[in-house]
Amino acid sequence: MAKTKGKAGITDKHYLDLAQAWSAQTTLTAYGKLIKNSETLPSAAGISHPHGLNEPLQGSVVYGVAIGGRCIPLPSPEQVMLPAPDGPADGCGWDPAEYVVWKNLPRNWITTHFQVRTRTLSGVLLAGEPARFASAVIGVRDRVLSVVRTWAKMASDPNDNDELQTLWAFSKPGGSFHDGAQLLAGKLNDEFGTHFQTSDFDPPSTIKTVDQLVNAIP
Amino acid sequence: MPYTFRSNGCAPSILMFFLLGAAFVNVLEAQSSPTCSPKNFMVMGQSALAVFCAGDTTGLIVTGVSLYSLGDTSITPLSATITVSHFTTSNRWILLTLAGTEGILKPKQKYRLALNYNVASKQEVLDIDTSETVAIATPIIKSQANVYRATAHVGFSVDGRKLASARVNEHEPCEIQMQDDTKKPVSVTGQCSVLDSLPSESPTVAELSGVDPDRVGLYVIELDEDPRPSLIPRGFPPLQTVFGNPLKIDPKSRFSPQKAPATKDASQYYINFNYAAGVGTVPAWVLDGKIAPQSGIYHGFSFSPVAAANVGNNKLKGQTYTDTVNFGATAQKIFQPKHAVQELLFVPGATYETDKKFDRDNLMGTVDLRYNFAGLYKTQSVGTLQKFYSLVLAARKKKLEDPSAQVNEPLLDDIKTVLVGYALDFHTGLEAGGALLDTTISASSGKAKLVLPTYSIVRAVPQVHGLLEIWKFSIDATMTGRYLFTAENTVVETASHSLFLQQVQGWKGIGSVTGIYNWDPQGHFGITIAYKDGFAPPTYQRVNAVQVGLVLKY
Repeated sequence: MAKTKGKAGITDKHYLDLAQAWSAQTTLTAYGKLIKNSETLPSAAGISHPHGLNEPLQGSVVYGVAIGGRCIPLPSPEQVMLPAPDGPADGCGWDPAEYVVWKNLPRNWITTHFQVRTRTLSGVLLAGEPARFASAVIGVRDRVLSVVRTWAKMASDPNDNDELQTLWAFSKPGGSFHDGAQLLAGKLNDEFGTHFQTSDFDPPSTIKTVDQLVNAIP
Repeated sequence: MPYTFRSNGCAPSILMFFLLGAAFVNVLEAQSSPTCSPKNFMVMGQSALAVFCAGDTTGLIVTGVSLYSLGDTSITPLSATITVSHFTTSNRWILLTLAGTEGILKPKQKYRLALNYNVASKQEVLDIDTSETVAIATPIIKSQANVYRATAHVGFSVDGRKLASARVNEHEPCEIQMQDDTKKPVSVTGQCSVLDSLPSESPTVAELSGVDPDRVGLYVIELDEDPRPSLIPRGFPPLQTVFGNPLKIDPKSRFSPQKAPATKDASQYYINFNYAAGVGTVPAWVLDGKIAPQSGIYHGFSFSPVAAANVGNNKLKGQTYTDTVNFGATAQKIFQPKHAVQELLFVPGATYETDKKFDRDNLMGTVDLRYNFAGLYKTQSVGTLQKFYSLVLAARKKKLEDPSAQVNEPLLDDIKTVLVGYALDFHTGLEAGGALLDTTISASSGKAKLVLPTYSIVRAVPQVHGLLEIWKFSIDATMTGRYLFTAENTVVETASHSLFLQQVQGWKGIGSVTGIYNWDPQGHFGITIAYKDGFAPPTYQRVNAVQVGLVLKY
């Protein structure tokens, strides 16, 4: 039985020492799984070890965290680089046979976060770069041609004076050009961050040809 | 790899070169070298020109380039060394850089450029005007009526003579000085293109070839508010041309508010109210309306309101019309699975369902899935466009194989509409909700009233839609079934105008067939006949109607 301190019912278990109090504010505990064959040295990953050690980090999938004793399952698992785990999971209801635990991870530690998203190749490769680079490496016309080519399932780039409605019809579509206009608007918005709408291409519209489409990119 | 020509007009050096290595040559076009049919140009600097070619320039072979100065009555060859290069940013443009005693372009001059190829001594000519005139293009994006493009054939600069290019879809706050029709100065705020400048006024070929020529001589302006009335720009400081001169505004250029849409189809909001009165009869009115505000696309979903009425007025013996009025909103997203289902349209929504007397209050969540199977969408329009584009591609292939051959691409008007067209799609849907309130139903004649109690709604809604087009005839048929999992209440009015409560459950279907005969080939004038039979919510009264009408479309 815990030793009673002061007022009735207050025991040692109700107390933290200063280090524990600091730790509760600045660290977290993570629960997850390890990714096989994903070990790398912090220097190779361009980051530092959270505890200043020269030990490898490992690709890990985190399913939940505990902060200040509160268990928080993540809405979707997150893939990050973490140090070696402290052992099988020992809290928050995670099955120790399947999950491991990382304790006292500094909350402000910079790690590598892997995200899986579906994006166009150019959108990925050029994202985050200065816009000058983004617009210069692949010109806007070639990017539009690429989008139209994918949209209309063409084997080669369309001509600049080709009409969008003709290209859609030639792609042996499953639905009307209204559907095609919505798909095209979505693809262009993904590629350029624009705000095209279905009606911008659905007749009666002034954007009819590939060249007009190039000249509509703001 | 650039190639250089000396242009003296009399004896241009002839060199054969390949602009790109074989590794970059498009497989389809590797059998034959394309030519550049120049369609446009951009002055990239005092000694640099970009030429827009109709088609891919990959593998282009140019055997000589000549430059002439055009006077009012004379053509003078210029002694300039012209280097032809490719842009790294685009394969539709080629870059010409000029050197030599007469290799400096001057503003407000006219030049002629002659490109020679090794294909049957083919020569292409492009006239170049270095006037520093800027034109304001009418907005072409229907949903963004305030986005204007200031364009010129001479590149812009914001720093001396350094070439500037407009970033794609990146803007910064700006203020444009304008004047109205009375020449009163007006200052208008908006968002304008962010421009990037080359590092020097005499850029290298490598620096120039990294610029996107489609973004040169371009300044995109999105005004914060509609310009009312038409405004004439006074300039775009600090923009100037690559010659270091201020821009000259095309006197015809205006920032004009978008005109009202010409047709109901083109409108977002359309109300046409007609009222008729005559001696000895009660006044009549007709309201023809449409509410379809533009909505953005978020994560592939396009949002749109629903305001649909399918009701009839008056009564003929043996004829009863559908009596359904819907208000609500839907979101729709198209998926393209890579198998037999070529398109899958997912449409969740919310609908308020009532009738023409507005004495029903059904609120429902709806989900509809439309399945378009491969090969089941080939309307006459699609078939005709497919036939047209096949001929276009055949013409292009022939021209590619023999660039000296006279090949004309067909025009759509040259193509006869295909005889047969068809479309068939399938839907599965779910409607769930309930009648919100007890409502009092009044008989159409007399004083009979009855309370319609609330009820739950859970309906499965399969649907088949088909279209068959033969010559000038078309038949559009829709079969909609509704399986009512829960009993829905409705009030039935007898011939003697007494009311009684009825519960409806199980299968209730409705079918409609519409036949159209298009009188003229363009489909401006047509005769329609529509037949409906079945049971439609929320009243589930028997619908049995034939309607004949005329359609006039211009």
